[in-house]
Amino acid sequence: MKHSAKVLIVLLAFSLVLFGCGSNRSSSPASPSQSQGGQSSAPSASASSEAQEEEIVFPEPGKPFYLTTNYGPGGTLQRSQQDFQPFFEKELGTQVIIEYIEGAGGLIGYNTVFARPADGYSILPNSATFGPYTYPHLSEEKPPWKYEDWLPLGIYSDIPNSGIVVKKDSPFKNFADLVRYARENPNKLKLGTIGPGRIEDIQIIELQHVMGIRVRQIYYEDGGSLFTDLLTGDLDAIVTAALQYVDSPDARILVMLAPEFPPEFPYPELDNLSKFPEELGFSMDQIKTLAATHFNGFVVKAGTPEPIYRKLVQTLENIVKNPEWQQKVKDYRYPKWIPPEEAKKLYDRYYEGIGEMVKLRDQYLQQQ
Amino acid sequence: MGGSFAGATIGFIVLLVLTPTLIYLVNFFGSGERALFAVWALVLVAGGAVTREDTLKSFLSVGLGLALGLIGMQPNVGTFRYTLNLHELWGGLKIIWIVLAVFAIPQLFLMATMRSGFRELAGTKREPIPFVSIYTGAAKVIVKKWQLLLRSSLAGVFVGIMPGIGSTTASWVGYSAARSASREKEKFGKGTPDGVMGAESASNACEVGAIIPLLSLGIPGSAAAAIMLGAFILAGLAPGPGLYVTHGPQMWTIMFGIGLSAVVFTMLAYPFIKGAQWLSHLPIPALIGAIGALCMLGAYVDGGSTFGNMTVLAIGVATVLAGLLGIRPAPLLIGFILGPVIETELIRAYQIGGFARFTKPTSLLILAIILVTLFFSIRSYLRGRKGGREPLPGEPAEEKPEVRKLAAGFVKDMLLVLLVVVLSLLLLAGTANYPALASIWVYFVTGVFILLPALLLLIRNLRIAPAAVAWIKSRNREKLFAINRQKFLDQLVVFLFFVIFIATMTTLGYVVSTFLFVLLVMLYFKLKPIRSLIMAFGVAGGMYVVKTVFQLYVPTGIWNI
Repeated sequence: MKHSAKVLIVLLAFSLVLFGCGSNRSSSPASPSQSQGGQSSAPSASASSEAQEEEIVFPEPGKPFYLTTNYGPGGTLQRSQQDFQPFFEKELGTQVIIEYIEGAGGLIGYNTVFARPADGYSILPNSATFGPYTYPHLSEEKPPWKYEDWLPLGIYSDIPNSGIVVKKDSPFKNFADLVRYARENPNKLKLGTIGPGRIEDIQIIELQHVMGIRVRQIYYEDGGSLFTDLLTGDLDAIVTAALQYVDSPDARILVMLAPEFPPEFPYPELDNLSKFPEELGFSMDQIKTLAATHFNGFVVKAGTPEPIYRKLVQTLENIVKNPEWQQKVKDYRYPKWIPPEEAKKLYDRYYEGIGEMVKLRDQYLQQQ
Repeated sequence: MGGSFAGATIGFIVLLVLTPTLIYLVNFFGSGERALFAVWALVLVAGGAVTREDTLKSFLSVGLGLALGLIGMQPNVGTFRYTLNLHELWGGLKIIWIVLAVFAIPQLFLMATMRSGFRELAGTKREPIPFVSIYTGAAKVIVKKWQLLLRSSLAGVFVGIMPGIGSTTASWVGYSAARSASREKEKFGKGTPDGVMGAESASNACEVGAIIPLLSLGIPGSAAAAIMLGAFILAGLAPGPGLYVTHGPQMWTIMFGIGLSAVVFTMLAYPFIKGAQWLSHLPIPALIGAIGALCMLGAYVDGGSTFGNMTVLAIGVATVLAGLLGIRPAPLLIGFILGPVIETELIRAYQIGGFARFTKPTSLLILAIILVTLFFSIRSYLRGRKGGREPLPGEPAEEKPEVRKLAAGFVKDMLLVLLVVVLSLLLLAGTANYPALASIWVYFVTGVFILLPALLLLIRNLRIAPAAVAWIKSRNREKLFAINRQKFLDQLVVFLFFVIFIATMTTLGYVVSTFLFVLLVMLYFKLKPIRSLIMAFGVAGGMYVVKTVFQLYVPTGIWNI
């Protein structure tokens, strides 16, 4: 007993000392949001000196690189990450691991990477539907980070992709059919989306407001069960990344949620919203959130040393310009390289725009 | 060994045949059917509990698991529930945290109380194990007893498919199957190899059977399958019908891997037996160090911060204390896994079609199965209450409990009732600001799975309350619970070592903290310093290899190790 009591006292003292050390250490480095202050107009990693640039070896031999994925496996994002994996491995010369950290509509992945050191070893995907610009506005709980705590590495795909998909044998021949049904049957149309906390939340509200309809929005955690419920007839339609269903034997794209297609769009035969204003009695000027762009990119935690940040940007650019990668993703992505400076400007506009959209959403909700 | 091999092999064949069939049928399942199927699984867990020692406490265990599953974002409406303003809880508690907390951590605390046990073992000699006779003996048994093995294994597989029933029940079912078909029934219960083979083959087949609902529906059939579910998710695979579409080749590889494991395990039986013999002679402090370090690794990796480690330790300690009051880990885990599935799918189905959504023929069929299961569970419970279970051969007849034990049980039950009532009130108070759809499941869980069994437990204790209270009043309270101070102190010290481990992980790095942890444990249990140092180096080195080989994201600390 005496021995035990002595050990216990020593341990208590030791743990107090260690806790003290731990807390000091954790509070010493400034968080990116503290260090960066306000919103910057162009991406820049943490302050770095030339000496630092010379010292940094990235990636360190044997140290893995993480493509952190903030949604569960089973959707387009997983496919995209898997298609990127071998190219990142080749470019970086280290093992690349896809880690899935899902939850809270994709927010947990962002929170987790934010809690890690800004060392460039974990990067996160972002898109028109989720990213550092959506969560601060759309999440019910405010994230532990700010929009400025993330830096874009660049955009690798930019194409209208959001659309309304129905079962192959659906009675809705086109978007006008669906809207007419919804007008005649308020709250009957069952529309599935992934969420909540994503841009689709606002899109559906705007769709209802502009078209003068009331629908039942049903949330799903992943694309797999969303599509299953469309096929079983539980859902009348789904709002999703539609191009993956272009050649589906079970489903068809009713309309792409875009005001128009860019000239390089590979499926010009699909309907977009500009076809229906007269038939459905709405104005294209009313379209705000439904006209959102449809980009995909990667972000890294702000505070990442400049040389590492630059290397990551260069790596992504090399991959996006690689014809082999372009060929691999051509079914579901539209490869296009937008450098981080331009991406940052787009995200800034988007961040502000979503803030406006949220106000619009609240107005719609009040009117309903 | 022959029984184990036969059980696993037969289980594998059933797995191969049944899983794709089930997946084909599940493709016709929408939200309503998925919800009802998960409800059926929960009824089976609770129903399976009926056949066990304490129905009400098993129900409460399921209820506590369901309560843990309430934490995080409610997926149908996006409300954050019971997150205590901690963003680490927004996505809910991770399966791997709960698995480690309810199974591994309590086991480590138990090992910490075995001072006398490991001293006795250290002094014993290892018996030689003949190499060839292990395999030839097993082969002879399979050829001679193939009918018995087939019967018991099939029984075991089907028990395994039913979620939550577990291999203990399978062993008894397999034993009963062997006994009912035997011409020498009188030998059962007296150590006949047939009884051991029946139980063993069913137990092994059950574990394979439990994987069938995991692969086809995403619902684990056992605690081991639940651990596998966590591993699948970590590897980027979402078990369920969609898995065959997205990862067909990998799925078949896993299934054949399970079959191959039966063969490989049999081939490796000799080194495994030798290894187990060696492990059993390792000092228990070394095992506490190594297993504890692995637990901390798993807790950190799935979550990416020491919050996971703290959660595992806190829930682990709570499980140890709850275990003293009769809470069981396996039903708790299954409740934790099934709760969010049931809630999300039920609400989704209701949003889609209201109550009418559950009147589709497929839904009605599953509802009928649920009712039949409920009927048999209740009947079994009532029969058990009326006549009591006939003691199985070899099982000691029930003794009349002492008043002291009754009084101790009474105090424990009252404490449990008090705790769960407080928990329920906290849960219900939390719903004040939640929308109706985020609250309804909370009401159901607290009402049906916590407060109702707590009330029944209270009523059950009223019968013995006067005698128990009289005993407590008349006797010295010290004698009510026999507390071994040394064991308590040992557990407290191991707990503190874990706290130090977690506190130093970020600063010193995982590997160095492991070294420190193992060294402290071994020195505390008075192992020689040189031996302690060697063991600590060995375990820390092993962990370094594990984290390097599997490329795990763990803190490397100031020395970048």
